[in-house]
Parts: sequence; structure tokens; C-alpha cells
Amino acid sequence: MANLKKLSAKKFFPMLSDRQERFNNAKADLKPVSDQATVIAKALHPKRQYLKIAEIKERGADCKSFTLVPDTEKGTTALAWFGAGKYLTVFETIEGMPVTRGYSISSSPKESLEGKYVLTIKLVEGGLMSQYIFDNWAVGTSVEVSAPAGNFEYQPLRDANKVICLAGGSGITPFISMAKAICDGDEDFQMTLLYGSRSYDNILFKEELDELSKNDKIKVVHVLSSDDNAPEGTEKGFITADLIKKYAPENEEYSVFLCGPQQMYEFVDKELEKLNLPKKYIRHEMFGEFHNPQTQADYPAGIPETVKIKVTIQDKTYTVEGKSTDSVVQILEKNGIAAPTRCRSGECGFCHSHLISGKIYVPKHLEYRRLADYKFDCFHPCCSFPLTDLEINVPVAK
Amino acid sequence: MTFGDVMKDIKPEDYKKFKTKVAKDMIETCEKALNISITPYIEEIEIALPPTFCRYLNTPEGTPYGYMLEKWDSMIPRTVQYLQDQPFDNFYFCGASQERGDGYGCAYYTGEKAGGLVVKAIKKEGK
Ligand code: FES
Repeated sequence: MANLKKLSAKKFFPMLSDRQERFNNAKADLKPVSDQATVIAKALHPKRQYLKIAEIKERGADCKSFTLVPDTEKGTTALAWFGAGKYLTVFETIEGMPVTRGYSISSSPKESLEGKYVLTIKLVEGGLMSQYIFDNWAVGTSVEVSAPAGNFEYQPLRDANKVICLAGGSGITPFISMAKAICDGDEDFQMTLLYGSRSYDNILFKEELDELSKNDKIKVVHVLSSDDNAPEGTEKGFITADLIKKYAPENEEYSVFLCGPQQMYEFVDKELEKLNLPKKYIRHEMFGEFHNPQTQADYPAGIPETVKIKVTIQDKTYTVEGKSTDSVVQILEKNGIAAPTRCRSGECGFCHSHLISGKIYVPKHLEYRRLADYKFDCFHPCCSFPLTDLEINVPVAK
Repeated sequence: MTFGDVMKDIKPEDYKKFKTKVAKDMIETCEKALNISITPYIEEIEIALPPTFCRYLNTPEGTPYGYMLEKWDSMIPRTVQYLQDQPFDNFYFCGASQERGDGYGCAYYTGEKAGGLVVKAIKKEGK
């Protein structure tokens, strides 16, 4: 108290005139901040990267690898470095619809420093984006992508040092990047890759995998589902619990990373249950957009075929119509409205929006909402399917 | 742990390893100090360093709390000269980097204050 009484406001008066004087004399030449933290943030997370296709490699009838380099004319001079396992979101406008898709990067982090990303894309039957890419992407085509994104990465503080990687078909792409990163010294773990393909001739990246497996931290086992003439050293059938056990270290902890189509997850997840691994040791890459919610056992009956969505984005409100079997994002896009998206699997939170009224269906395995989301009616339009007419608030697409 | 110029030689491509190292050091320090084991129980981990704050908050040098106040421009002179600082009539500043410096609490406070002043001005005009 005694000290407080001694306090006098007078002491502050000179401060006020000093402040005013500094303001009056201040020059209008504020320099942009260029400390290293800002440099790193900008280099790793550019809002957009403008690229050009430099090379296309055919990998069988329905798969192609596209080599992308910076499009300097559009302002991208260097590529963002990334942790092996990440994906790029590709932005395209197809028949007036703004469409996005994520594709895992199959080149190495080191190659990004040399100015190159490789996206390996499989043609999906009835797939809007993959069909567009196969029809339109040629050498010289300009492509707009996001910064590398995603969580499908090795993390030494969380994962075991021995990792059993389970890949199916084009789900091999992030593992190619990881294996290359191991060879380059950017990642440090023991990789055992069980790679499921239909037949020996069907194996994607066969030569690259042969080369990569010369590194003693990388072992590759081809698992062929329907090849009666499979050569020695390959496994026949599917990726089962027994097969994983056969290649997993004994009496040692190991992580399991999975990347492949939805059907593979449905099968392998059941197999993994038999192994009783701690949950943290099982990591899935998202397989992208989910289709046909009506095939799920818990999808409610009696849902109307079409629904209306009243959507507000910043200060604009639209009312659109769409199929209830399309996700909210798909409905918006089909009506020419861009929504912010990255993973399109409910995981990244990029499309996080507000459900004002109506009911939605979210497939169980894409349910990443938190308690606060339920409390405040927030949802992920990329993996939510309208069950009734909806009124929603969506952020501006970035 | 990343205060000062610790980050000055970290290149973007070194950042991932650097981040993990900082987290590992912090966790191990805690394990030693508290005599407990943490690492085997890590189920999920997100590591935020200055570039994280730069990325999401766009703050200088990636500080979580924005600009540091100088003595001559600290809370008291800012509060006293708040109205004088408004560049024109009926315009009130609010948000982080305001009267009380950066941070959520300061943003809330200045928001409420600016809102109050606007309401007061409207009422006055209405009379
Ligand atoms: S786009 Fe990632 S959660 Fe919707």
C-alpha cells in the first residue's frame, strides 16, 4: 500500500509526449519482416504453387507419373520442401466446376529442392478429376497446386523405428517418397514394405523398388493376389495378419502404415485387429473422397434423392440442389461454388463449416469431429452427406 | 528453446528434423525433472515452433504473442492516448496488437471496449 501511494501519474506524462513525438517523427518505410521463422513458414507453406508439366511417364494402361516443375512465369520460382508422405492438392476447373483432389507426392523431398515433384495418378473408373487429368494434362500444361499437406509421415517420437508399410495399387506413392527419403538420409527408420498388386506384371514402380531395396533399411515384398506364376520371393494372396507377422520383428515394437484403396482398408483393418497392436502404431493415409454413403450399414433409410442446400459464404448466399448421395462439397462444386478443401476425407479440418439447420450423415471412419464441433454444430462438408435440406455457413475457398 | 537467433541457420529443409529435436529435448528435460516417463506414451504429437505461429498468425519472428511492447509505447500511454490515436471520427481500433499488446485476452478486451464506444456514439447520435 505504501508503495502504491507513492505512485504518481506525473511520471507518465513525459512518456505521453515522448510517444507522440516518436509517432510524429516516424518514417513510413516499414520494412517487411524477413526473420528466419518467417522465411521457413513462407517457404514450406506457400498458399499456391504454380507448376508446369515437364515430363509424363506411362505406368501401364491406367497410371501415369507427371513430373512437375516451377512455372516461373506465374511466379513460382522454387518448390516447397516437404516431409515424405505428404500430398499436394490439385486445383482444376472442370466444366465450370471448381474441383480439388489430393495426390501423394511420389518423388523425394530432396528432389523438391532440385525443382521437381512427381505425382503418380491412377485413372479411376468414373473419376471426375483423374479422367480430366488423363484427357488434358500434357507436357507444358500449367497446374495449380497447394503447399504439401497431410499427416501421413514417420514421426520418430511417436512411431516405432521398425515400420511395416502396407500398400495397395497406387497407394504405393507415399512409400516411394519415404523410401527415397531414407536413402537420402532425410528419414531414418527400417521399412518393410508389403506391396499388394494383382499380378507381377501389374506392379507399379517395380524397377524403382528393386533399386531402393538395395538399401539395407528397406525391404520390399510383393504380395500378388491373382498370379499363378508369381516368381520366387513374392507372396501369393492378400495382406493378412499372418503375413504381417511373418515380416514383423519378433519381440520388438513396430508401427504399421497403410495406404491403398478403401476395400484394402476394410480387409486389412480386420486383419490388424488380430495383432492387437497399440492404436498409435497403426496409421492410415486417407484414401481421398468417399462415395456411395448409401452402401454403409448405418446409412438411414428413406432419404430423399435430392436435397436443397442454402449456403452462405462470407456475404453471399446461394441456394443449390444436389443428390443426397453426393457430399456437401461435391454438391457445392457441381453448382460452381468453390469450398475450401485439402484432404477431402474429414481429417485436415480445412473445410470446417457451420451447420445451421438440417441433418447430415458422416461415415464412421471419417468422423474426425471433436466434442466442441458437436456442441457448436460444426462439420466437415467434404465427408458429410445431406439427409435433409440444409442451411450452412462455409468459409471462403483459399 | 527457440528464442533469439537459434533459428537463424535453420533452412526450410532442416526444419522438420529441428522441430523433432526441440520436442525431444523438451520431453527429455521434463522426464528428468519430473522423474516420469513420457515418450513411450506419445500417441499423437504436434510440435509448434516460431514458423508455426508465422504460418497461422502471421506474427513477427513467429512469436505466439506478437509484438513486444516498448516502454514508451506500453499499455498505460496507449490507454491514455487511445482516443487520440483514432485516425478519424467514429473509428476505433481493436484486436491483438492493440492497447494491451498481443494475445487473445487483449483482443477480447479491446473488442469489447471498441464495441462499447461504438454503442455509446450511436446512442449519442440518436439523441
Ligand atoms: S477437406 Fe480436409 S476435412 Fe474437409
